[in-house]
Amino acid sequence: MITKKAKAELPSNRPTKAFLISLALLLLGLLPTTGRSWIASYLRTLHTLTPAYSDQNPQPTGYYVGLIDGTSQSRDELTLRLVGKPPETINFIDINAARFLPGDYLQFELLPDIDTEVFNSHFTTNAFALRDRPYTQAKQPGTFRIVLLGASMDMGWGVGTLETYENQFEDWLNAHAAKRGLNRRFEVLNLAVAAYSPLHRLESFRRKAAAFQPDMVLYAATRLDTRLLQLHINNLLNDGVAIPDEFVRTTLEAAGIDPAPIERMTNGKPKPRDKELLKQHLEPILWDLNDQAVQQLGELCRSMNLPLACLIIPRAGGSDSQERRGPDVEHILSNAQRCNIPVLDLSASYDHEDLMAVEIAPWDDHPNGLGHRLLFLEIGRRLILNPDLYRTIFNADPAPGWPKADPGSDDNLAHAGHIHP
Amino acid sequence: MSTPLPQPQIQTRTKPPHRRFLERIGPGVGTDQGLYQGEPENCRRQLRQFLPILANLGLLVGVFELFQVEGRGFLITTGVALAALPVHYALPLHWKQPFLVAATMVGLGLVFGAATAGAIIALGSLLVGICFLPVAWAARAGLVAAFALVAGLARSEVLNLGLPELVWPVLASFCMFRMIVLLYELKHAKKQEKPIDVLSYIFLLPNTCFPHFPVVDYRTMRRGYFAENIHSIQRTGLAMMTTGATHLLLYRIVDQRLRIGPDQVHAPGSLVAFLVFNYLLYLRVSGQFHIACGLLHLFGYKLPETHHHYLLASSFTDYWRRINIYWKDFMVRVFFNPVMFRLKTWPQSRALALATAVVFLATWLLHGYQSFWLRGHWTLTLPDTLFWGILGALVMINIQSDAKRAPVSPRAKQTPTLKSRVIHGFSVLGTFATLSLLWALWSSPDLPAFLGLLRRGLTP
Repeated sequence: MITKKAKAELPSNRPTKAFLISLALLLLGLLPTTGRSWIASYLRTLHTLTPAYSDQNPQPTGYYVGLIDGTSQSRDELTLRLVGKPPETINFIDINAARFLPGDYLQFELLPDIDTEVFNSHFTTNAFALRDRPYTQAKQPGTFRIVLLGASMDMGWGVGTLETYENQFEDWLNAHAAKRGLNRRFEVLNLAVAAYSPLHRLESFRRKAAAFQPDMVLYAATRLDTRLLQLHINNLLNDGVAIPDEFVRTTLEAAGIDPAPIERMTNGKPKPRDKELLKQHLEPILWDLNDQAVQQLGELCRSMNLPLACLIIPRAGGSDSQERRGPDVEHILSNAQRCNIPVLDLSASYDHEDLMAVEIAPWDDHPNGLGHRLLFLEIGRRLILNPDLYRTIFNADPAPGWPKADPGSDDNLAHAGHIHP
Repeated sequence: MSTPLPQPQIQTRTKPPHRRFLERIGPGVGTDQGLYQGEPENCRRQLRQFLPILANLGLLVGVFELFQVEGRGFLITTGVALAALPVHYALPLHWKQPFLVAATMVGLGLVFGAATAGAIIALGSLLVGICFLPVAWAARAGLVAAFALVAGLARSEVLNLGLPELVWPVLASFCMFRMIVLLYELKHAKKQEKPIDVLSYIFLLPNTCFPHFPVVDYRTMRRGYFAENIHSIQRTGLAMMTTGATHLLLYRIVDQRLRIGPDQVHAPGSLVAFLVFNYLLYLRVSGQFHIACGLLHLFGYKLPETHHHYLLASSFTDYWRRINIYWKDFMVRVFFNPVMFRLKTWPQSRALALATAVVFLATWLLHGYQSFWLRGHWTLTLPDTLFWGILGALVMINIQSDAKRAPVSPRAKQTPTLKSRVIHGFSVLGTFATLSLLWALWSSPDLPAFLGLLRRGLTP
């Protein structure tokens, strides 16, 4: 028998505060997290287990953080067992879309006719190993061809082939030309490859662009370029690859680095260089090398009578926020000015956006579909403000009445013939 | 002839008979409904009470899954807890602890793999076995210390015993502090402990997913086992788990949206933002501890709260009492009280000062020790030393002034004046500000980095 006293001690059967809070949390978790509202943005944060430890959101430090998560960026076995592998931490190498070129200055290139899924989008390449739509190699009459040189963001890592800013730009160019009755078709050929440094881009242009008979070159620059250069040169030196560019060899020598192929070990493999020492020597000359690569490209384009324009592409996720990008963007701009290269500065493309809404994942700050659309819209805005470049591309003056009060408004782009995706 | 009367149709009974006609099976046999023979009243099972508790746990597990709280290990452990709870509830009292130990072992296997779990179970059981050897306490403590030395060499990769690499940090997370508490208990125990009680103390289910674990006290845990009505304990546990879940979700906002890096401090405003949100990263610890202890409540262990509104501490002693209460109790039990006992002939102020100094010295060393076992390196850096040294000194000063202050009359406590409220508010703010600053010092890689941060933040 339950005694009266025991019965009195029994807790009531009403829903407790804990139950109601749990229910509220569950309902909160079921709310949609898509969209650009701040509520959706915060909901995405609540759902995010793995934070993006980028420059903008550095890995927190402190005793407990080290104790619970470990201190190194690469997670150790204990953390992996406890937290699990973050979903979709795939990188470019994982998808087997590239082939390695041992001993070659280019080091690697995309494979043709790839069709694989990355971040729930199709990563495809065409028959010419370009991350792009199918094209014929020979240019059709009346077609104005632009080649784009860049790295992973320009290649469209994490978005579908048709979602890349490059393809949206091509669509707009054609729609705008048709709307204005201009007798010109456009093809923008994407020569960008993930992790391509400015030297890769220069070499890729030298080897591949001419076959497509381009009429113009777009060079995409980012704040990451010096880091990509460092990796590229590191790999070249450690693999004992001969460096064909005189300006690279001279700059390396001036910094105390011997660019000649290094001695080999008994098994034939190159003897690895002291990583730290190499880094120490490379660090001060990276911007110089970057500037010289752009200058070389400018001279090459001039010699081929090809107009060249530079795009400044920001990373999503806030690494290139207003407070952080200033000096580097200034550097890119002033170098372009020295080389007499017009610039479409897209670095402010995400300034008014929720940063989590424009990156492909919290741990990967490549732009997603929305990010690419914003980049494309910014290209449109900047092009409208640059009549010289407009004339170069369309072979016509901008339409009268342009730009409107806000040249960057979507209205202007719609007026310009933008087809909304 | 009379025609036979139509016989009434007797319907076949499809419903089960009323429960009073049914033979009693399971709980209730012998003594009373909901209890096996000899079980205490607090163990009484009542489905009407239990099912909402189970539903609440299910709801919480749903929340954890939906938000992917703390990741793989935690989700496995809460899944194991959800599956084990009804079985544990139904089992006779004397089977509950062995069952929970078995569930912990299953959890270990699922999180870390069979080989690692097997080695942890074997070595953990060996340690428990040493505690029960029929030899003097000093010999048992010596054997445990020898075991720790070998394990430490293996953890430092000086010695290779051929065991999976995760064995040492995970085994340490189960044993590094609880073995100290256990040995202390065994030294002072008046009667022999039951091996299953000790095994249940070492193999705690939530420890399978939280290597950084509150230092649960053995005696407190034993005293709290079914110390009140099980449903009441379970509801307290659910409330703790809900608080923990809220802390962990808030942590995500702080970590991913509000926190800024030290390199982003360029003005007083950004310095304040850095200090506040860097301190609030502690929500992760308080969230994990709430959930860990809440989970133990579900299985009948009534434990004290792990944190008590630590952001509202009004002095440094108050802070020490509110934040990581289990650590404070561990320090008081194993260091403070023994030192005070030995110094009972000393003047109180000197004894208090020395005991506090010993506590903070032990805290500093044991935080390094914890870091060594879990992450493989000691954290006895200059900022770490300064953090514990300054905090210890502040607590020491506070203790001295508290000891000198005349006790406040209960009447004065009941009627706080506007002035006392304002003073209390400023005390809370002052404590918070000082601790945020100290926390930033603790988080800094070195002293110049901390001073640089302050310089950048204080230069307009």
